[in-house]
Amino acid sequence: MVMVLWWVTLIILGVGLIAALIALRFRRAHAKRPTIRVANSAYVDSLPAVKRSRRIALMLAATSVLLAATLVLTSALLSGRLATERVEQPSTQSRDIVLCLDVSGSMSAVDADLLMTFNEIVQRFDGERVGLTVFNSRAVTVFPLTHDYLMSRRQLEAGAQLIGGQSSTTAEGDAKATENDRDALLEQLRATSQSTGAGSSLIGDGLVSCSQQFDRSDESRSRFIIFATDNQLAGTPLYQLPEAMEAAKRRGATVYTLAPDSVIGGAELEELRTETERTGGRMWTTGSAQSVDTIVAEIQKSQAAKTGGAKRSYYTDHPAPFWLASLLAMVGVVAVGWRQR
Amino acid sequence: MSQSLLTRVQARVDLHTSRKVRGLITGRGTSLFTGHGEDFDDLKAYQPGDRISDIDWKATARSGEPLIRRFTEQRIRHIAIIADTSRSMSATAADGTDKLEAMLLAAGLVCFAARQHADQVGLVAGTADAPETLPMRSSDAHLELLLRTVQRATTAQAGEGDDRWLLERAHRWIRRPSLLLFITDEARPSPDLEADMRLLARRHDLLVLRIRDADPLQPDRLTHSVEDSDADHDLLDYTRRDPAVRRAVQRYREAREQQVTAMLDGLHIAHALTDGADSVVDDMIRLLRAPRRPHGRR
Repeated sequence: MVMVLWWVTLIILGVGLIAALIALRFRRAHAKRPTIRVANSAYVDSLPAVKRSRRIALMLAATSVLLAATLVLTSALLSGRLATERVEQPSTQSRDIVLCLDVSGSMSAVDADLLMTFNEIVQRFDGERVGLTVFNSRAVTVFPLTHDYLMSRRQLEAGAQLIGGQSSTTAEGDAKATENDRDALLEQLRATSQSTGAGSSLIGDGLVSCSQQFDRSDESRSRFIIFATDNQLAGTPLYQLPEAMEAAKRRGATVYTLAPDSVIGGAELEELRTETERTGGRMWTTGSAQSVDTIVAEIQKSQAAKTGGAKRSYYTDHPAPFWLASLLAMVGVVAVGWRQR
Repeated sequence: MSQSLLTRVQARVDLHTSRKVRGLITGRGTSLFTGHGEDFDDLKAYQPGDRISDIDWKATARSGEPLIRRFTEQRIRHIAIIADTSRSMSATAADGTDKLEAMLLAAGLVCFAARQHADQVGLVAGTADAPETLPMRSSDAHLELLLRTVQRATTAQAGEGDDRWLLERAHRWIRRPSLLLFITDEARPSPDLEADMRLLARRHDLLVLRIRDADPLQPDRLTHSVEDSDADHDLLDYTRRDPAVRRAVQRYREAREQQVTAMLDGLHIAHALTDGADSVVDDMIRLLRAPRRPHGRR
């Protein structure tokens, strides 16, 4: 809660205080008015009507003072624009994240988990564009960069169901994957393994395809690829992994890699880690539990660094309670004043 | 005050009384105090309490209704003024004038009438702490002193009203059967003083003039605060305007008035209630001319 025009509040409170002091002075002057001396009226104090009248008068006076104070206070707060401040980084709208999933045979055991991880990551963001590309020998764009979270979650859900036969516990309502979603995804997954004669599991080509998802190259945007692969190459790709990483880096993308934790392929994983870190990113093995948190944190942190942390404040006024209170106090003051006549 | 109080009273009496009444006062001088003398004054209708022996049978036969002869009281009368000079008499009367002014006018009227006939006027006043008594004398200087004594004694700093003390003192002080004028306010004599009043009325010819008090609420004069000469209460403006309070005060005063009046009527004591200086002369003349039983005989 902040006071946008706090000095107006101070001025109104000051004026209210001065008014109260003046009223007090007048009251004192009123008490010093000339007197009429009467006699034999001692009984007046003991009359029940007088006691009752005195009680009512004091109550009315106290109420009117209280209401006037409330009126001044609420109108002061109202004029001061009591608001909540929301600090936002305007650049959150300009983040692009491409989820890049290797659906080759060697990854089939972990793909469902990875899709669930993607789903989790997507849910952590708000305002970014997210796209999903799957690749084996060919790369297929399941959905391009989009703000449509509902669709993206449904697709990720459908993928997880299709591959792993499992359903996300987080999906609900509109985000539930339908039969149609699964059928469409199945088509796309089949398309990734249509042979071109160059083998399968072409890691470098997949990554390049993912990099090509980034559009609006003239805008200064933060670009991320979340790259899930085991780097088990089978065939002859057009791009080797270092070349593909270089291409991604040229497009301004940072690559975060999720690799399945496996005993085989230590050298490939080591290469993957080295290449990933060259783009400024990091690699996690899917075994590490904090990977999702860390990826989200990393992306948000790197974003802040890039935009120089230029923050903007948005104020949301909350006039309703004070408005209501001051209205009621005003009505009360009028009512009490009328009763006091 | 350069002018004598007696002269001022005379001016007020002349101003207030109708020609007829003025004639009664000044024409033959002593008409205010009718009694049993040698000089025939006039005839008036018989009223219960008048002496049967005063009935003028011939005149009664002529007119068909009982008439009695009135005689100018010829012997020197003794008059005593019992003045309540407590601080409550320094307050405001019902018509907005000072109660003291009304009291002075009433006492002055008696003094003025008494002067015409060289009646002797005495005074019992003051409070237990500062008693004021003057013997019965008839000189102008004495009458003037009497009025001045009343005026001087009645201040806001005077003692609290104590009518029991005053009546007892009058009873002890005034031995001779006299005409007594007890001047006090609407709350007095308190109904529980019936025994004292009876004692006094048995020996003397007792008149009671009561001056009505100002409304303690004064709802039309909120520019002024109201202060009681005895009680220390500060009424809020709201209370002073409250119609329920006004009704309650009115009821209380009416009840008190009824009690005092019932007590006085029960003792057959002539009494009048005046609103203040503006009406006191008329009320006094009405009181003095009211039929009353001869003093000392019940």
